[in-house]
Amino acid sequence: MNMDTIMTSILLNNLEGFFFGSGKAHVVTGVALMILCGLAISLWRMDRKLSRLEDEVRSQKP
Amino acid sequence: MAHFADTFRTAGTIAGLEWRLEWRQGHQLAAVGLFAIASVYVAFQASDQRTGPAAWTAMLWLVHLFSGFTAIGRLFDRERSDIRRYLQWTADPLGLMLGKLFHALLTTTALTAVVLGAFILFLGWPQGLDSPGKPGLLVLGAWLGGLSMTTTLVFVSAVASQVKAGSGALGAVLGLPLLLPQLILASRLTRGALNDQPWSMLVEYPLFLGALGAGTSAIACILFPYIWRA
Amino acid sequence: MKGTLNWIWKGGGILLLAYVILWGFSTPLQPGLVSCSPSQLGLDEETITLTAVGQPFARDGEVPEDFNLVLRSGKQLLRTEVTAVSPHTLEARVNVPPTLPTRGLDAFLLTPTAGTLFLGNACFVEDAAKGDIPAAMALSKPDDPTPALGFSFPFQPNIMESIRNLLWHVPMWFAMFFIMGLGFVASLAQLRTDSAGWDHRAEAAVHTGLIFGLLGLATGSLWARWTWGAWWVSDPQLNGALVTVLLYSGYLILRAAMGDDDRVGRLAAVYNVFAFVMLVILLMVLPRYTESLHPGKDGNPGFNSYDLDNSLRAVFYPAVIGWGALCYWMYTLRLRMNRLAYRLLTQ
Repeated sequence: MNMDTIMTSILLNNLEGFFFGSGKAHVVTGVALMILCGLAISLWRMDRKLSRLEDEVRSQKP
Repeated sequence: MAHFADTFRTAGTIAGLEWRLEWRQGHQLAAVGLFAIASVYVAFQASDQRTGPAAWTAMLWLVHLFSGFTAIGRLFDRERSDIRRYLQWTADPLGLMLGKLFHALLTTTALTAVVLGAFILFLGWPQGLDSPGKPGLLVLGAWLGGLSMTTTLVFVSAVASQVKAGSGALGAVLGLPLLLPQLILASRLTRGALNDQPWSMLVEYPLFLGALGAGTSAIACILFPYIWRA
Repeated sequence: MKGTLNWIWKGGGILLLAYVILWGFSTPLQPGLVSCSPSQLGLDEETITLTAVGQPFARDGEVPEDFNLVLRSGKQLLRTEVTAVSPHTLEARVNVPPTLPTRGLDAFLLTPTAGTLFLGNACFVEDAAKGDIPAAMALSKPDDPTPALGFSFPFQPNIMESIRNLLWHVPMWFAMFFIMGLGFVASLAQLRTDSAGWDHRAEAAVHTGLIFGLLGLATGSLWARWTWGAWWVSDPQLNGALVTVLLYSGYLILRAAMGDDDRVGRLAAVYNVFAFVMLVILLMVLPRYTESLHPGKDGNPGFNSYDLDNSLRAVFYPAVIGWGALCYWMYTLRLRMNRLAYRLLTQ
């Protein structure tokens, strides 16, 4: 692969200038944090639900 | 020591049995040959007269792969069910595996000869195969790649034969990803030989192929007893 | 007591990940030079412009005299005169001599606060004859300034801002290896004891590991797009990763095809042992013996400097622990689900 082509493609894609230069990185941080929160909440709810079901099954046993 | 001798005796018996079964049910062997030759003929029709190395390699390995599937895919459920049950109770699983493996390797050798022969007959040696020794490397690569592929296929068909419904399709689904590394190595070797790459760059591929084949057959032999008498 | 401990590691993992996201995205990148224009120089006086990315290398109130741009040709140095400077660009006048040791010129930019920035083969002088730089234009080696940068990620040419992906891609694969290793051990135990409990563990491990494998593939593909210019390239490491993920998908397909056959545990264990051995061969052995673009293997040793950088380490280690904790949590959930389903089926 040619280094120049890679460099040019990166500069054209403008990840550096636009993304971080314009402060859009904060949007990314916010979205990532929201996804993390959603994941944590859903896992937590699943955890609770499983605990409840486990208790139920345990109490059903004679 | 006696145990090992027993294992090898079983392996010999099974290999002989498979061999006789193959000849008695001649249609299976013929079907694989027909499949291989017909595929090569399709490849011949699809390409122009002077095929370049890349296209030649791609067609060779596609034909080899699917012929291999056809030949080895049903290795473990060919017997009638009563014979199978008899083997399950009496035969040493390791010996059985070794016998089947030996038979599969023989079959693959024959298959490689058929596929390569058909390729040379219809498509000719590919363009660019000029330097001495390269045809030999090509044949070696096709053979080693085939063997390496076969050892994996034997294991996969052993697993798939345990599943009652649709084991043929399951074998293909499980087998294809497992065969990717072998196919990548083998096709690189073939393409490298055709593109006149220096020997020093090519010599590692046969080693890798051999090691991968030996490794997979070793794991298959260790694990087989667990699936056979489940 | 046990419940509290459980919530501590689960919540701790999530908090670590939140820390990783916050710091990973807000830590500035050290400045680095990316281009020089024009890239071809004539033989007389020329003006060149250097462009940098990352945090600014020039602060407010700094004047051109504070900066020193040196061009290197072979082992000799060429003087320049900095004329204008802005936070991310710098202009300099250079008097190109008729004779140079090499035609390619490397640029060293000595800055008061950001240390020395380097750009290899910044520009070329096609017409230069081979020879020494005339003594009047040559320069002896200036002293390196000591950088006074705060907490910031190292600049790597090509990788630049995408270095932040290190906190996602690599820990995800670590988590995948970890949990697949757990599954491998469970499958070995399953083959020895033939008990359903180990089978539940193996299934949960593969199920979770596959999710992390897919995430690792996705983040890796994204990274490849920025650094290598394509979403996917044929590389031993990448082939191995793809085959591994396909293999473990095969594990789930095998289980689904068996249905409630009572031999499913043993057969799946056999397949899983085989799959893990292949994983080790494909991802840890083969790429080391063949040429690979992928860092951490042969062919790209430049990446090793990552491990030495303290600021990156301060975020990378928490990332590894955080993703690992998340992965293990997901594994325990799947495991409990399997146990409950088994309980209901066998009752």
